[in-house]
Amino acid sequence: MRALFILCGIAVELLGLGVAVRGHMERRQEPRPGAAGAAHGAGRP
Amino acid sequence: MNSPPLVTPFSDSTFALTFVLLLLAPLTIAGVALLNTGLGRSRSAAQSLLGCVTMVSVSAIAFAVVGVSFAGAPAHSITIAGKSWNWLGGAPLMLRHFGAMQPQGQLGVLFEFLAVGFAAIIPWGSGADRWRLPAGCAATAVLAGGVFPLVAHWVWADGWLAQLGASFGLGTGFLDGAGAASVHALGGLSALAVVWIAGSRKGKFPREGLATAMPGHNAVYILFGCLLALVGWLAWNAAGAILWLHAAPVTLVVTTLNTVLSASAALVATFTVTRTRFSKPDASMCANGWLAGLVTSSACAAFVTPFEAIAIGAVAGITAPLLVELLELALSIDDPSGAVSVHAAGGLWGLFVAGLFSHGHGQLLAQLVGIATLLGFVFPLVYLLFAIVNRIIPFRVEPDGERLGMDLYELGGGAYPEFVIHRDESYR
Repeated sequence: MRALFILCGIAVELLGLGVAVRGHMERRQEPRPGAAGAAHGAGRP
Repeated sequence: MNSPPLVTPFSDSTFALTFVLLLLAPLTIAGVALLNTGLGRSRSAAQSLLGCVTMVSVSAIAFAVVGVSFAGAPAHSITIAGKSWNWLGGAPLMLRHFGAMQPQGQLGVLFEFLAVGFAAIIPWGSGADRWRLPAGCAATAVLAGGVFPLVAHWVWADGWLAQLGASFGLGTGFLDGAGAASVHALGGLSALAVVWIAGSRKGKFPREGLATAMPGHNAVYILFGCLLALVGWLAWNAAGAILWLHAAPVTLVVTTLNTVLSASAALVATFTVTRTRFSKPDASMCANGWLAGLVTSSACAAFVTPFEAIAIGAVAGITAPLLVELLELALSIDDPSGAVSVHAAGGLWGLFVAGLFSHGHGQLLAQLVGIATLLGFVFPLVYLLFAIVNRIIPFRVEPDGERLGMDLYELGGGAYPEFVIHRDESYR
């Protein structure tokens, strides 16, 4: 039971990580930011 | 507040041996700094190497002023469901208690000083060619003053992860012999946060087609860095085994042998994989494979057999180049130094196999709890803190800085002023 709980926890975390990776991938397809956008982190239009 | 844990005092010879090993351990930092520099572009080489030195310095000061208080004992504990959870250290700020500590306690703090410097330079390599030096310093201060001490306390100062054995019967609690969790997994996951926040290098991921190849500028730095790192790693794993796993000095020969075997198997595996895939072995990938083997050994070199060390290293060596490709080509993660594949994945793999090959009942579950904590709590925490730092001190350099190179833009002069002509098709 304890092992199942831990494994389910890791599975949920990996799912979250997958969503995060996917979210950051979509940003990469957008045009590169200009100077103002770049100064506050990449990826914003 | 808990009392400091009781430990058996070191003999003079064990103290001297551990101290000498810790004097050699910084060679690892030197090796990885060279790797970081070699894997970046020539127009950012001086900024990269200066950055490594600066990160080590900033992390040492931040850890001495604030971090050492959270990392050490005595500790603040809370009781939940009848179990004591040791979350945070409560030692005095600014090392005021250092003189009164037992000698082995002082060695432990010294180990942590080196470990925090090492953890700090890992994300620096991933932010190469676009991460500004002031932002790197700020992020390092946060990492060294806040996040690293938390993990170090949980793992090495009888924190709740180390007490999983006593509290829940999970083996002997979470095991991290030489920083696979607190240095490599933390550093590698921080690298992923930096890459996501700073963004990819200009021209790396064009709107159409494959990712642009941006190879490292100096294979000699990269490969010499590997050899230098080995020397430090042998010392690091041996010192960690004495300090955190309470290994007897006579067992250190096996630990050292396992470290070499893990790295060697990883290199051979990466060599074979890259030669099979590209017809020729890839120097920088082989370096990453070698490093992945060393990272893996940080978790488990002290208690696996030599044959197991070869198998563990080989898996790390096969996985590292494939992960580098997957991250770059499929997941659009621009990680010049490969820290996510090498340090994060290698560290987590080492922690997993430490449980798998350990004979303690429930040890694998203890290791899985530690891995879950790193992925589910530590990584989001680092990302959040770095995102806040990015709001105050922007991570990414201005487009002009990226075009000119970090050396000219941030330092006013290049690393190779008389020998290199910059040419980059992506900036035309």
